[in-house]
Amino acid sequence: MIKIHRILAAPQVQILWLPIAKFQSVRIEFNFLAPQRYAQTTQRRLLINLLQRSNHFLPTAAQFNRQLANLYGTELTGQSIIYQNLNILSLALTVPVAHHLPALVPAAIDLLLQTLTAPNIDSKQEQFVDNAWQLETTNLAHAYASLQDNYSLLAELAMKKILYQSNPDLNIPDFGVAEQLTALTSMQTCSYYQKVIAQEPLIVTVVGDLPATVVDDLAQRCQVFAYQAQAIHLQKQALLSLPTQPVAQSDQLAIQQSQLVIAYRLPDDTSWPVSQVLNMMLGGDDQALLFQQVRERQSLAYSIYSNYNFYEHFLTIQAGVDAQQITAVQNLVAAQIEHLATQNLSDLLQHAKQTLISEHLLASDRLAVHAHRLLLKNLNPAMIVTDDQYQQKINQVTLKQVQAVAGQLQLLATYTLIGES
Amino acid sequence: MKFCEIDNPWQIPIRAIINPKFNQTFAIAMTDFGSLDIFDGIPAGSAHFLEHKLFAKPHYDSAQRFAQAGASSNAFTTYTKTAYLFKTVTNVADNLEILLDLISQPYFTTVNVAQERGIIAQEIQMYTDMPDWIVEQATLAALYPQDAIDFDIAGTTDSIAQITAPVLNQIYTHYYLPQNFCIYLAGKVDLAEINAKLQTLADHNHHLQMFAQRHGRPQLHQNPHLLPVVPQTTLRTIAQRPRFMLGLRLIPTIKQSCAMITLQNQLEFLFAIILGDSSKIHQTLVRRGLIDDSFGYTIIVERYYALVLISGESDQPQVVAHSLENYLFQGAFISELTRANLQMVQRENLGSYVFLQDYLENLATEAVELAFYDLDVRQMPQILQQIQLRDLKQLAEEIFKKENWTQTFLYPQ
Repeated sequence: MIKIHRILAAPQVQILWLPIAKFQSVRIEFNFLAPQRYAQTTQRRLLINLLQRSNHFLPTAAQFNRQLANLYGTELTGQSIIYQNLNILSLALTVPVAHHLPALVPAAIDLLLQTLTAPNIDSKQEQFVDNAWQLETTNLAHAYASLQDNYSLLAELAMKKILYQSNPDLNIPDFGVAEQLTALTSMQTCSYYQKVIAQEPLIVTVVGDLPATVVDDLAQRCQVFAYQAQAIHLQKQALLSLPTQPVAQSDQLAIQQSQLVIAYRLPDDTSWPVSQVLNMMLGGDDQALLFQQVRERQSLAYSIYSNYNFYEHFLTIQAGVDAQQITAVQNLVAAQIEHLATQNLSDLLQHAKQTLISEHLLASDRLAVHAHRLLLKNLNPAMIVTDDQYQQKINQVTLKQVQAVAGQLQLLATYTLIGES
Repeated sequence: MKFCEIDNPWQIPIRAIINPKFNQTFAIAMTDFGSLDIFDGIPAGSAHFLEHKLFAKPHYDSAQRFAQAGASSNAFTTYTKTAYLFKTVTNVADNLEILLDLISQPYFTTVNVAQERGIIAQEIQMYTDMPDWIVEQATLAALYPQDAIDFDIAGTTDSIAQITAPVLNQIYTHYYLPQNFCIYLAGKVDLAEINAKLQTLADHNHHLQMFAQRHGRPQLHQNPHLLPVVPQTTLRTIAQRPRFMLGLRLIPTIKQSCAMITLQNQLEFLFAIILGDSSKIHQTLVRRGLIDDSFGYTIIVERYYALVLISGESDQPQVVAHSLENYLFQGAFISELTRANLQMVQRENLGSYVFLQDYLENLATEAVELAFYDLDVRQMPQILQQIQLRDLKQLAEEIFKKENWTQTFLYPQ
């Protein structure tokens, strides 16, 4: 096993480096952590969009992109995600490693640090320059409009609204909402950026085969961040009070295919390995009960799958179906849960375990997954991320445990987006 | 990373890209048969339907077999190719056996074909709710009227109603021939184990023996029908924002298939320089509020088809189209064709080739597709480095012809 190197660059700045030699590229991710607040969600997404496309020295998107292209297609991508009580603002750099170009990675790191410390703000340090502000606010507004054309996403978000109503801070998509965007100003966002840099704990993950001097230098240069930050911790308990009575909601649109989303409550004491195995057996892949029954046997959907939220103890099932078949699919879903609770599905159990273990190993072949695991492990030290430990935990799950949980699944909500065409 | 050829008695090209640092093995079997290959009596969507239904076998399903052997499997159909693939961390040789069985043993019945029709109908229904899909279909239909590319890869609800078990058997027999296939494995590959498995199969697998004996020269839809382009199409559908798609078809005079890949890369370079996000026109259109992040272009080169689709959302799609038309057809882009810009896209593409090596699925898929153009994926850096500014200038002089240009506009209903 490759040892993770930890460097405490400043009281609230940690560098985690996995010196893995497997990949032809390296990834460096800056993750700024803040408590998740409804009011700041859109601002954080807009801010990361502003940071990833220009800076003080490369003030247009064209100049910025040209620099990335000249760094052999180095990628710089930003995102803001809600993870339990946290909102994580990430800027990730992926650089191809060419041994005949040793200066490439340091040059890419320079660009990343320049982007974070010298953003595209005016000389008074009060607001983002007009062009950059216009570009990003327009793009985000258009993206909000266009997601109305993505009906499966609309249905998923509608279900989220139902399930998250008890916790307004979490009841918002990671990418924010149009109403908040229109109220934001460049000045506020600039001031918010300064707060992020100074006050938010920073976890930098580095994955790849780099000279130690490069990482040491990076750590040194990261001391400028988080100088006023206080520690922040991941809350591992449930943060939602889920509906106590089944909720049924429906909308209609002039579309061809209807969308169905059903949510079930998982018992509070369900362990993560049992949740994962149950989810895989029910709707995790093409051998799962839902896929086999709803798609393969009854030809009622092109795709049907389930997902689960371990911290909040719920499971959702989603499918695109013909409007006339919604009830038939709902009945089939209920029948599969009953089947899972009562039948001896030993073969399916074995398959689910094997698939989960394979997926974990396959994920270890992806550079970005290693960076993500470093971050999660740091937020939750109890989290199992190594291949051996994961395999052991999954293999311990019994059919009885899965059946017991399946038998206790409670319907929480049903959302249908009905196609009128 | 090591490349090697795996001998087999069926004359199927089987190749491996070995990288033991990875946990996974990815395998892909691709045949030179796609949605364009619709001739008399073959309804649109047949290649895709066959891809779905080939997994059905007497008394078992190949997807289930893969799952039992620890692999996840999938398949896809493009305009000119059909591919079957698996990904696994275990039992590579057994999964390769299942893959060979999958492609060598058809089992189409009236019942299982009818069942699949319902699933594909749902898939088609899903696409018809996607404005981007609608605008692309209309653009292709305008660029190539009455050509097979007019139809979506999945076909239509009417065309799939005509697909029966005999139709699938007919096209399977015609196109699924050993010499029409190529297989790539990538990742952790134990050659001794694979060779031993292939030897056992050669001795005992009746279906593969039968498959190996089949020969022929299948009729392929190599060149597009070139009826006059429909210059403009306007659509209305449920959508939030207006969209545009501008299509440019090329009429290649190329005789060697490998030259099509050079053409594809030259087109990629040319459009990255003249329309990419570092180009002046891109900045101008953004500054005028005419385009946003949805703006982009796609270059499609398959067999002897070559086309470019430029698309996006805009509140003023006709103004964007007019600006781009003037820019492209009046040669206003010529000042962008500089050495510095060429070097920039060359570097970016060389970097992409390095990234590709970390994504075995993409690497193997790229490698298998290139094999149909008689190219090795390792030749790509050299091909990229050989592209000269004069090639791009010459290409630009040849391709921008109004008679090969179409504009599609989609407005919210």
